[in-house]
Amino acid sequence: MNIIVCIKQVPDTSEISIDPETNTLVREGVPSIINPYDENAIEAALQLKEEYGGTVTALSMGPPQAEEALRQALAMGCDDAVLISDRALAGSDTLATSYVLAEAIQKIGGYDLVICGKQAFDGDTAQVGPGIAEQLGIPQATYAMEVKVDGKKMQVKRLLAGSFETIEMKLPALITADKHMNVPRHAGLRGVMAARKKEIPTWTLEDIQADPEKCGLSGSPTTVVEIFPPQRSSFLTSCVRHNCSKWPAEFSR
Amino acid sequence: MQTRPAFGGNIMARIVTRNHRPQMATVRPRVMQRLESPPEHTAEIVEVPVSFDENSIMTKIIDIARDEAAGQVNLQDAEIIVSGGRGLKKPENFAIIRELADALGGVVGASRPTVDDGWIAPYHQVGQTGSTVQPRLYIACGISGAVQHLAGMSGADCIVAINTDPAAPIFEVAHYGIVGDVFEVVPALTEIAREELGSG
Ligand SMILES: Cc1cc2nc3c(=O)[nH]c(=O)nc-3n(C[C@H](O)[C@H](O)[C@H](O)COP(=O)(O)OP(=O)(O)OC[C@H]3O[C@@H](n4cnc5c(N)ncnc54)[C@H](O)[C@@H]3O)c2cc1C
Ligand SMILES: Cc1cc2nc3c(=O)[nH]c(=O)nc-3n(C[C@H](O)[C@H](O)[C@H](O)COP(=O)(O)OP(=O)(O)OC[C@H]3O[C@@H](n4cnc5c(N)ncnc54)[C@H](O)[C@@H]3O)c2cc1C
Repeated sequence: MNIIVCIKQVPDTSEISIDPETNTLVREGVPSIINPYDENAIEAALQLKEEYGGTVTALSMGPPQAEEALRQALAMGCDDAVLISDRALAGSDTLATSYVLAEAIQKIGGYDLVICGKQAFDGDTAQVGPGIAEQLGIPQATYAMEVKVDGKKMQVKRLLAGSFETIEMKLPALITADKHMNVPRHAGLRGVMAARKKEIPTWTLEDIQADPEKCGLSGSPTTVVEIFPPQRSSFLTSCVRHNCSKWPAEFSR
Repeated sequence: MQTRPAFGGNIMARIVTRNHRPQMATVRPRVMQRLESPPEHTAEIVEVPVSFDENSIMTKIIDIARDEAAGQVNLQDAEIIVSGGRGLKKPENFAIIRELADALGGVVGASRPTVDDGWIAPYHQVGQTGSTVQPRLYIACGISGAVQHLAGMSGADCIVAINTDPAAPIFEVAHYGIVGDVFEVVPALTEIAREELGSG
């Protein structure tokens, strides 16, 4: 069973802040991590490989430093990694990103399953997984909790609000991994050493024969025009601070 | 133009789609007031025949199972929510939250770290990566008030916060703030609720 896992390198959101003067993200000194749901996706792929054999390829689109995330994926146990990096990709929205990743997946070829994370911690749209499946014309199951493979078919248990849904689909297919799917393994020292030696090819748009019109700014109908910190309704002034003994009586009225 | 949270609720982003029509956006549950449909309003419902090839359906639903644990927690429709955070110190201490929720006829909510650490089931989580709620009353017990938590509950009509730290950000959104120990305040509230509401 050959699996392609899409991983995104994201800033560690717990440390993100906005420059009050320029209203842009302060990225300096903010560490980059693998999008946490993508670690669940990698773990799911590795478990399927352990059960059914095959290979796991990690795929990322991003600037050259996204290679670090791919190295980490290799250290966890992925067999290969591919980086799609091209200046013309800057400003890609979810439509353009899905298109490029789908083209790269087709170039890699020979896959039975594509696994994405449920959503990315930065953009937070959860659109890229479903977008890739649409571009490839393959079935998809989002919010995967459990998977079972049966020959050329697969069953996926999905976590919905208040219920579980089990669906069946033919391979090749795409799933997006929920955090409740598994606990991602840590890369061991041996994995880290082996990952260091591996070659990670970097593909440009030309390498994957993508239409430049469908990539980057020209391929992106949406634009982020402004970002700002969330408004906190300030009840501070009206906040009444009581001590414990006094408050409950008043509250109960 | 759409305004949407990103970066786990740490920032809001305005998105514009200048040249493409039609466009599509989805609305997060409970961020807008639900409208009643006016009783006199009528509309014509038109049935449109559709035909498609069954083979073009790529996925087949083979089972839908109720999630028993989730069935008991309906945060999104709850009128009263009592939520616990890491200030509870230990998983067992969610008992005091449950008691107060029962006494008030409400449901139990939780902050994310308590869910991540397995103190309580995931369906209780309120916030950016949990449920967005809009109860009449939200009581936050031992919750600091991180933006990701506030993203899910700041729409509550009345917010009560109980926290030992007077500088906790939860007090910035609270209508009533109690600087105090949850282990004293919560049981005291439960007692009063039981007496006055005759519950439990
Ligand atoms: C503040 C902000 C708001 C934004 N809002 C929008 C918006 O409303 N509409 C829009 O179209 N774009 C938006 N974008 C752009 C969007 O972040 C990018 O298009 C991004 O490339 C993918 O979207 P995402 O981060 O939401 O990923 P998601 O769709 O949430 O990611 C889901 C999964 O797809 C895979 N994946 C995503 N990106 C990559 C990648 N580069 N390489 C490999 N795998 C990947 C991963 O498996 C990931 O877990 C926004 C960006 C920012 C910074
Ligand atoms: C991408 C992302 C998504 C997230 N999504 C969510 C989400 O959906 N929901 C969510 O809740 N969090 C979310 N978080 C986590 C969030 O940032 C905070 O870490 C979390 O809300 C803190 O939980 P807490 O208030 O229980 O714990 P803490 O921040 O540790 O606060 C505990 C509080 O208890 C008080 N306390 C201690 N002892 C007592 C006592 N005896 N009596 C009274 N008070 C006491 C302390 O003063 C403190 O304020 C998310 C984070 C990220 C990065």
